[in-house]
Amino acid sequence: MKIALLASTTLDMLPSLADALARAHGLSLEWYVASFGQYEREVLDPASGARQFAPDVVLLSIDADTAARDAKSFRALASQALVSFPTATIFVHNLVLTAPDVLSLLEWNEPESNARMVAQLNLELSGVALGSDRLRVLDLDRVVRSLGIQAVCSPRFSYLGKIPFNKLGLQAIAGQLVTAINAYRGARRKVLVLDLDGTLWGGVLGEDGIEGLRLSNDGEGKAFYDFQQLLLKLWRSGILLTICSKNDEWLGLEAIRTLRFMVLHDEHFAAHRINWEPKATNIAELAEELQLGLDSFVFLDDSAEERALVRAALPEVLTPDLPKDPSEYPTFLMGLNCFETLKLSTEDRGRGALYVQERRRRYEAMGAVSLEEHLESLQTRVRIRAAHPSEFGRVAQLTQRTNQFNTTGIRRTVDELRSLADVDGWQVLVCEASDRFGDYGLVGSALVAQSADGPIVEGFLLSCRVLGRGVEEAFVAATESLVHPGRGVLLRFVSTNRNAVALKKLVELGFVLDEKTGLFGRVAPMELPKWIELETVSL
Amino acid sequence: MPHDNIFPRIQACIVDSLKIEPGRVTQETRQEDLEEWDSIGHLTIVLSVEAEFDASFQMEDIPGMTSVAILTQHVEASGSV
Repeated sequence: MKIALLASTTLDMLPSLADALARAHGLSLEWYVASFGQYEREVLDPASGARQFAPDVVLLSIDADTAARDAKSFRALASQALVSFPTATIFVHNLVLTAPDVLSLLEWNEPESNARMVAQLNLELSGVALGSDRLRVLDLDRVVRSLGIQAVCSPRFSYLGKIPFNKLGLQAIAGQLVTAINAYRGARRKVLVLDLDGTLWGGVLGEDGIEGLRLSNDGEGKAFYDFQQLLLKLWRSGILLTICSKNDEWLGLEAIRTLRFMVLHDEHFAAHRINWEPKATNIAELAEELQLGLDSFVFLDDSAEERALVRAALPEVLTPDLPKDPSEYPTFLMGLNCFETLKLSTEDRGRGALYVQERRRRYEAMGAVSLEEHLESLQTRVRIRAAHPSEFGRVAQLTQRTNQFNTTGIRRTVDELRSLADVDGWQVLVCEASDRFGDYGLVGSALVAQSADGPIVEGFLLSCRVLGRGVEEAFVAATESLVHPGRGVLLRFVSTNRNAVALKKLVELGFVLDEKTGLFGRVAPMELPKWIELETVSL
Repeated sequence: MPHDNIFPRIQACIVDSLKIEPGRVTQETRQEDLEEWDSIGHLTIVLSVEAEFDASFQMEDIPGMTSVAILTQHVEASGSV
């Protein structure tokens, strides 16, 4: 990954600190560091080294003094960077006031105060980010404040060589940058497995009874209440919540339903295992039930013993050592930086609810007579159409998060998708699905390249939430009729260690491998299951 | 002798800061012996040494800390070892 560092101060130490952290994530970074005082020219001059470097990511870091001295240039710089680096993601540090101001107590009370100016500029910068998901503000101010200005700023080195931060500060800044780069690559954990006693509330349900549990909106029990509020925010950002607790199931569910001040309710949990089985067994089952890899799971439990057992049995699951004191849970959880994302899609915002619908569907399926009748009763509707460019973010997310029904396993960023569509003429189709329980949203995508032999599907992705109910058939049929009516499409399949399911399904659908070209093709017209209602929108 | 304990740590700071082979840094190394030890490299070394020994040097002393020997003296004088 190529990163251009454009700073108004000397941040030359940042690359090596970031490299060390990135290596731990299996990331290798290639840097372009602008010479001192050159950051503006690097952005404005088409022949500049940074622009020739064609970075994937640009980090713009301007100090508050420079920005406040020439607010007009600072305002223009962020927007200009979007134009100058048309395919890169631009990270911009927000401004931090580190020097004491002569106004002191008057700081916020006089029109010419620096604090007001900096706050104003930071808001404007945030405005640019709201307008373009290619520009992301990195909250440098928070990094500095959380460690303390005195602890991370170095006036001595600032005078000697325009180095504003000491090593502690630079390390924290490198950490935030690597977190952001990781989020840019789409590495995000998806599922939180939560213990109940000592994690969601204080006390032991089996011993203290529901009445004896500690959870309240005041005093000591508020620590758990606040932690649940944080979990609710994560749920709203697309993280799935599940429960794994050693308790009697009826009692655990009763406590969740009736305990006063519970922030999280039945509708927030995608699945649960409340029983006396080993937790590792339960977590493996949860992964199967949700059809998500164990490497997307995080397990939170206040018992060191349970954590050790899960860690030994399921090393892919992230099992951090929860602090002893619940008041530290929120800061600790967010400090793991494993739920970071640079942008929230509509699907992210509604994901938690979708999985709960799915759980209720499953329960209803138990009462259905036959599989076919069950599928029929779902009244599944599928809609296939060309993707709008504004949906490339969701399509990129599908390439990054879909493992099973992913015909190539290739992860793509929004920028890559834009370039494939605009430069190479690929067609990007999307698949939406809904049924009588609710709307699944945008669940699939087909990336179709043009070739002399006709269109080739270079990526075929379907969320596991809709597999096995005829959506695959509908999507293949619609793709063929949209991009190559009557003649079918070719499809490239690249085996990964997760996508055997997709290969099996493709063979079932009549795809045959042509040894000469290495591509799959099919001839027979696709037969749609009768319970699927398909709508295609002409390109 | 404290000197012996300090040297490997100072050596590591210089090696990390300048990204060079450890063998190129001895107790006798001075700034002019290493072309990588330029002005930014110098400040990087001093920042690293401060972090390593939890020390804070006087600003006026920093430009003159141009050898392993002088760095060692200042670390010892800082009382951090």
